[in-house]
Amino acid sequence: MFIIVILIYSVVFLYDFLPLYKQKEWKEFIVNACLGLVSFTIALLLSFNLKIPSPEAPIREIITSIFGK
Amino acid sequence: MTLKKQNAVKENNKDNMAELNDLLLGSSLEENIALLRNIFTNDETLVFRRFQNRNIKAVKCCAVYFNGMIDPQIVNKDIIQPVLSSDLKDGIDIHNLPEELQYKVIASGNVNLENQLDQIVSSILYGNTLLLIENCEKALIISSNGWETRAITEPESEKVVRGPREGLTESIIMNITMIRRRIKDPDLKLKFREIGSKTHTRVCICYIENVASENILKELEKRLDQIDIDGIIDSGYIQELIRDAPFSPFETVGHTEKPDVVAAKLLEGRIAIISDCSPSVLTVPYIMIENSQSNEDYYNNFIYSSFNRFLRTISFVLAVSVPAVYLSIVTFHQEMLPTPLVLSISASKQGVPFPSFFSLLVMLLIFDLLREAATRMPTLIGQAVNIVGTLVLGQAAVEAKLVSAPVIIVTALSGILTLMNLKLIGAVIMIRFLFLILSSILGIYGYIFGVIAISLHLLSIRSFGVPYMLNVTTLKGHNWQDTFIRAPWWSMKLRPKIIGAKNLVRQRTKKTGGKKTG
Amino acid sequence: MGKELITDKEAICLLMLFTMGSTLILGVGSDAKNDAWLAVIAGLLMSLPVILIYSRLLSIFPGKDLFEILDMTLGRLLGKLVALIYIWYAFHLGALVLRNFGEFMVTMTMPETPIFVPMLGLGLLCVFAVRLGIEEIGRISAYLLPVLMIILLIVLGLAIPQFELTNLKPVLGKGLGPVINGGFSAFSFPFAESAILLGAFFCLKTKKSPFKVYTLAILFAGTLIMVLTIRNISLLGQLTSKLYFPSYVAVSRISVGDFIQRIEVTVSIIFVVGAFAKSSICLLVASRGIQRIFKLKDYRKVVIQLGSLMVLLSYIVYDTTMMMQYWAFKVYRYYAFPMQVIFPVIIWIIAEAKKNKSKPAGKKAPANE
Repeated sequence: MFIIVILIYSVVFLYDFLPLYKQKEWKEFIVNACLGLVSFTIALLLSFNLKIPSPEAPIREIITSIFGK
Repeated sequence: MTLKKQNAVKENNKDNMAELNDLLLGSSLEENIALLRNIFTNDETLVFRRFQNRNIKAVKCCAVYFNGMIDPQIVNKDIIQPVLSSDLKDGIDIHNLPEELQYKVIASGNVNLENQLDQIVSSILYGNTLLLIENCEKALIISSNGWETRAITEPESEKVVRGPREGLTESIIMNITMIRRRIKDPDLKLKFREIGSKTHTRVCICYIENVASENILKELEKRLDQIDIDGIIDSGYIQELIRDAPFSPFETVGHTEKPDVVAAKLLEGRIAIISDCSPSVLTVPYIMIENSQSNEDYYNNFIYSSFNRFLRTISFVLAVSVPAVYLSIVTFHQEMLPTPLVLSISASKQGVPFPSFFSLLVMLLIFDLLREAATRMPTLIGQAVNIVGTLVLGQAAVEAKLVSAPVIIVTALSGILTLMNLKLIGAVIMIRFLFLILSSILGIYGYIFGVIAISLHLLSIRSFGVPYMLNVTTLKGHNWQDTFIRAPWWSMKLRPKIIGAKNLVRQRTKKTGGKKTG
Repeated sequence: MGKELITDKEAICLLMLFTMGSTLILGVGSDAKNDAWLAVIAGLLMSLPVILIYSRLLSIFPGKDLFEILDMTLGRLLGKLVALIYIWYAFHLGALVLRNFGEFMVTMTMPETPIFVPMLGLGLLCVFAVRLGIEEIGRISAYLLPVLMIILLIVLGLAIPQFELTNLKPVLGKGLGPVINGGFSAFSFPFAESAILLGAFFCLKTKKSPFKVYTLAILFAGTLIMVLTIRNISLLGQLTSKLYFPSYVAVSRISVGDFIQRIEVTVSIIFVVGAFAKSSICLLVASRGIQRIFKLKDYRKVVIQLGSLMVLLSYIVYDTTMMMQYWAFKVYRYYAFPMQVIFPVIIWIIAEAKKNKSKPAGKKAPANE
């Protein structure tokens, strides 16, 4: 499973980053690389069947603590 | 070493014509002949015909032409004979001889004086006759081209029941003649240029001034200028070199083999590109709706034409959808069908070892194989292919339980619908496979995703600045008149907007002058 | 490529699709039980002032998007902070819509398919659309909306013979309380979600357009949602508020003769298109926000990565369909309130103040508008 993830991401990275690298748009490259790394990490963790904590839980807790629902 | 080699290669590739750029003719006849012989070494078809005037021995000439490129009648009767037999005065000034010959002797429609070698070489290559004269630094170029051309026939790909049967040919002049015979107006402009460093193909941009948009014309000329290629064999080369959306399966430059279609498009404000040695003329801008237009629509009764056009439009939609929708219904959403139908479909699938997706894919591929085979084969063998295709792959395949009968029906339906829109055939085949794969993954939702994606693509592409889906999405004003239906001629008083932006009025009638031309 | 422009008609269609997108399938105002249609009206009325504020903001700064407006009103640091919140909101909302779609697919139509597949499909489509740009999204919604309306009206017409209007009674049986409660829910989802569009409507043609676009689109969409809520209640009765996807079940009950039945696929077609429009707008706004914050040249360059992140977030965001329902109807309204009301009001007040200050200062200011 994680092999497929790695393969797909390498294709996406090649497609997305090569033009940025060639045009020397470093700012775009860095922002894109950060986003890409985050999503790659999540996808890799998911492929190992690890459970990622949902960002929904803390938001829900904050709101219920404020409004008491 | 590599650098040297590269340089050598460069030298070799250097355009021969470019080297001739600055060369001029000399005054000695024999030297000039040797010069030309040197340029055209190893070319036996170049003919040097030397002759003299009967009265004055000083008038030594040599006619140079390519065998087969010229009309022997013209060369014999209008060039050689007059020069041989003309009674020139004895005291003639040898320096004025070319002018003398041009004005008084040679009986041909088009004679020019030239001393640039590159011009001379290219005009010989084009089939003109060169007349070299002893002791003159200028030569005469006499137009004498004449070669066999194909007769005007009805094009196989665009047959009509009603309407002109004439088809364009490979000769650019003949094509222009056919167009000019339909539009006899000084506003019909023809701009010539040469494309191709080896073929020197003559290409003509044809448009009606004050009707065609200047921006599109400018853009077209810019794109034609950018072409740098060794040869243009067919206008298809130009079509692909100047088109927008280069990766799209949809054509953004139109082509036709019928002069009446070209004339009609010119009148709508489009621009035609005629290329020598190619019977298909390109028209820009080209929009989606033109794919389902036929020239016959405009000659027949408008109700009948509208019906036909509607059928063509629907058949495009169905051709791409039928296999995908069938697949998604039988594999994912059987509940959408009435129970008896589900039963009969699953009964016919009984005993078939392959999944529906696989058998549909294979059958569609086989249909395309048969189509391609039948196109390339001689007619006699083609019939054999047809018989094998229908019998073996249809009935026999069902009886042998290789595919189910509904799959054959779907394939045949989709295949025939594809042939309704010949201009869209490439796009239809690609999109059909795309939709089929999508709906094998996500059922009807995959199909809808595909439809949205293709619509987005169609909405995003442009042809020379004109949106490809022009007049399809905006049913405003007069623009709907020539889209899914063909409105009657008496109601189409305006040209389509944006394309013929400069001069919208097409018909002037005093009764209904209500519409503005803005 | 010049400045992107969309016509008013396209913008209205876009906003209508955005508003109706997931509402048509999830249903609104389930707190109010059989008065849900009244809750829709209440929500519509509540959202009108907020919508006027949105349009006012857009017309004070024509041609500017939300993130530029934030920069100009709140200053650079605070503006960026609020911009980050909005990016998160748009991004999160897009993921929620994707998740709604995925849940719908696996619970109702294709139980064997893993939930990731439909979400990835829709996500890819959104990435494709956003890379083409707002103009194309606007054009395609102007082209899809009429088709959807025709389908909706036909289905509605087929449903009318089976209406049991007694299901609507008693009107206001439990008093105004549940209606107001449901109205608040309908206000935050879907009407005030149009705050997201502040980040996308930088491309309207004139200064007057925002008012026209916002009011017309929200009114049309609100009326439609109300009619469809009435349809659902009168077909399903008390069941409506207990179902995750009431429209789908309601339409599946329609049968005319023996021939026309099981037409619920029409509902899912509408839902696919709505979800596509909504999540691609969210993705577009999120990537524009990132472009503005990091001062990138083109928002199209971050779309692929952002889109893949959005699909992954939608995969991990809920554990169960129940959780989704709880979120949509209980938590969401409080979570979204700052982005939908508080920040826009603050920006609006500051903008009005700045405008009044700059007007007497010189003649140049009005000319800039």
